[in-house]
Amino acid sequence: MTGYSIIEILIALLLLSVIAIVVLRFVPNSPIQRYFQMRREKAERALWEDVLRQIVQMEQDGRIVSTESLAGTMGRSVPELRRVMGRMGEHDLIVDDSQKVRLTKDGKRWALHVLRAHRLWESYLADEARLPMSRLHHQAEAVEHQLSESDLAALDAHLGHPVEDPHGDPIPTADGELAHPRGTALSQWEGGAYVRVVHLEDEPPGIFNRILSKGIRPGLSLRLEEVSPQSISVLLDGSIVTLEQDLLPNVEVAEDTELLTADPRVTRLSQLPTGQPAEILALSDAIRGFSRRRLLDFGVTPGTKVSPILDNPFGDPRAFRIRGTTIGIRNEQAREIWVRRDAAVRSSTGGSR
Amino acid sequence: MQTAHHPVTPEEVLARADALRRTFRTSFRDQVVEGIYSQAQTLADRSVSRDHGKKWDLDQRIDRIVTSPWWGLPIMMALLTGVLWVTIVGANFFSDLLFSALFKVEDWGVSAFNALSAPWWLTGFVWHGVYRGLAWVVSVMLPPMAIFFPIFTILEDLGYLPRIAFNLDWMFRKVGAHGKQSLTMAMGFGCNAAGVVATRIIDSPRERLIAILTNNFVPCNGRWPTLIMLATIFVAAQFPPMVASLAAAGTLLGVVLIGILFTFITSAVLTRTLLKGAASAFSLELPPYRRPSILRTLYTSLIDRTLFVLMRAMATAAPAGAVIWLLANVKLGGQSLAAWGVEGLNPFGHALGLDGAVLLAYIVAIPANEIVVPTLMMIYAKTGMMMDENGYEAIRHLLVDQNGWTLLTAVSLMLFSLLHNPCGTTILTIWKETKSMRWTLLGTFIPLGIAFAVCFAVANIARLFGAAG
Repeated sequence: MTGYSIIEILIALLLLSVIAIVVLRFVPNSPIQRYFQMRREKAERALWEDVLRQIVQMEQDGRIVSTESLAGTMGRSVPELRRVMGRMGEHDLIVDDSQKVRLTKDGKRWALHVLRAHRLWESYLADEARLPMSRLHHQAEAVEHQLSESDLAALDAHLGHPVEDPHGDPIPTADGELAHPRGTALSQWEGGAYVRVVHLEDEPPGIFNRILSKGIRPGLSLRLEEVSPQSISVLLDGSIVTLEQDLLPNVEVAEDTELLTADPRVTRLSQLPTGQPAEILALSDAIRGFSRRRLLDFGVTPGTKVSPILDNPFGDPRAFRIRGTTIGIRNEQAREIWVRRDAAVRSSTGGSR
Repeated sequence: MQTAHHPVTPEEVLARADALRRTFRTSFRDQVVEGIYSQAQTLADRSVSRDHGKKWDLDQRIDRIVTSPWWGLPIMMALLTGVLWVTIVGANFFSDLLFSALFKVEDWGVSAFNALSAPWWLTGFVWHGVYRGLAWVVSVMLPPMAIFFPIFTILEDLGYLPRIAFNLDWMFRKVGAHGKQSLTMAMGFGCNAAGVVATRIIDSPRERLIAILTNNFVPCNGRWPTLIMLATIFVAAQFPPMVASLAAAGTLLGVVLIGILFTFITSAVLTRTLLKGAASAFSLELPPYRRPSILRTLYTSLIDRTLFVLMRAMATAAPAGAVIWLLANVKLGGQSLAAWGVEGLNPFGHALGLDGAVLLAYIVAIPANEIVVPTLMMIYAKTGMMMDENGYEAIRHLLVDQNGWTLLTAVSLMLFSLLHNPCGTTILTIWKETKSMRWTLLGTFIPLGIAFAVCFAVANIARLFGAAG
């Protein structure tokens, strides 16, 4: 009896299986070969979809689409893209007439499906899963390739048919209609204007993260203070924030029609002193999805009377008297609710607090 | 009759509605809700007369105190300590009564079997195995449950629990969790499986998973008896009788706080690793206080909670009692199976500040934590049956004098009991609630890993400083 130990037998088995896998890899139509084939096809398909989505986005931004500009935005090499786009051309998805790349009818439909999947999934991650803004894009890039038409219909209904994604980009409809974004870049505005952030461009990520780190979010109201060629400083939440020149094209804003910040009695619910009654004016667009629905369910609607009545050991959340009930709301949300102080009631109860 | 008024088809209505919907901004939904509310307000004003009387004033006065920046947290602590103290004092008294009563029944049963000349293994299996397991569970568990659950239900009925969620929300937000997690933790004091089910009140899926994975760090009713016993024997015994029960309550409070600390640490780590994300919105209604109906509370908490949990414990205790008896009485190579297990687990147990018997008891008790202490007693008692020594003094004698337990063993066991894996029922409940093998395994092994790590660290650091054990 030759004495092989268990360890030696295990190592031998391991080696044999590695050899078997390597050999089967090259045997046509073996399970291993089919597995690798399937993975290759999946990766190729995902790359096609990325190209399609990129083209439709660039077209919407009014940029000229060429193999070179695509390679630049996607971070791929030009020869690789040329090969991929050649195959896509054979499948009648795109037309490349040497100066400009266009989508065919089929290509456009597919591209809008992917874009819709991407933006709906970002909405889901932001509104329901509450992922931080900086992580939305990356996660959605993986999931956008896995969602079918019926998945999207279900997701759309679940989210309450959102019109815009968390960055403020329009979400294509199931019929393939795509609205135009409504804002203009911050670099085009002059000092003194009241504006609302409607869109943040999430690529490149470096610029996007710097914008986020300044505290800028879609839906926030700003007042432009100083405008110079190098930077713009804005009034945000009572403090001045300076945005450098390279950030400005990626922040799109629209005129704030409500001019909430102009009335001295208008303030944020979070800044209302305890015991001070007020009337709710508006919920800012920054409260989205589930949080917004929940607040509306409680009857936090414009015109409602509200009064902070309870502090908290940590100062956050505070409790408010609304429609005969007491509701605790975190400062993070109360900050986004605009109210007007009740002048009359304040004088009558001023001493009693 | 040509096509002047052709009937509108449902498809046309849908298409028109869809086209219109896309012209709305988010504010449209607000306007609809606003309209509904103002309509409701008009109706209510017309037909409901309101009495802005004393009730609301009193409510607000109480609320100002229990959520006040200064008094909010101390009041919470005082209430928790009070509940623990009452439970300990009451449980000590009733446990002793039940012990002696139930073990008298066993003596009668054994005599009856002997009188009928039943074989020794039948008497042993039925009375020293199955029945003794049941008797232990009933006398150890029933008193603390029958005291703790009603008091807790009264606090719940009063409307105090939402105030706890309100007070603590800030801390939960800091670790990326939801304030309502404190409510599910409160349920966990009764039973972790119930706590896991209660996480349904948390709407965000991410925060709900955090609440599920950490619920186990709240000691459930099945673990209270172990903790109460250790606190009484090893801590309270060192204090004069006057303050002994307070010292025990203080120890339990410390254990609960350590559990809460681990809840926060684990939540924070999960928020930064597996469950990345920001804390979601928190809006919680603080309902008006209500006068609890004591009788109904007693009835429901005894029937729905106490009896339910007790039945479950008995259902697992009876077969476990049988398993223990078999382990102790089936011999292999001149040693019982239990002895083999203890021997094999001893080095590992020692590294954790425990011993092999404790680990074996925990393995046998995976279906239900309630039977850990009785199993342990049985393994120690070489007679092959659960001890019929009653009263804490006798247990102390068995643990300290006969099996060399030290304060370190007691502390390690308390930590292990607090942090180790959830019981079988809770694991099953996690699976039912998440439908995911991944989260079920994580819910099981995160606590177990933490328990091993903490016990190992504590035991070795304590020994470094010369602690015995």
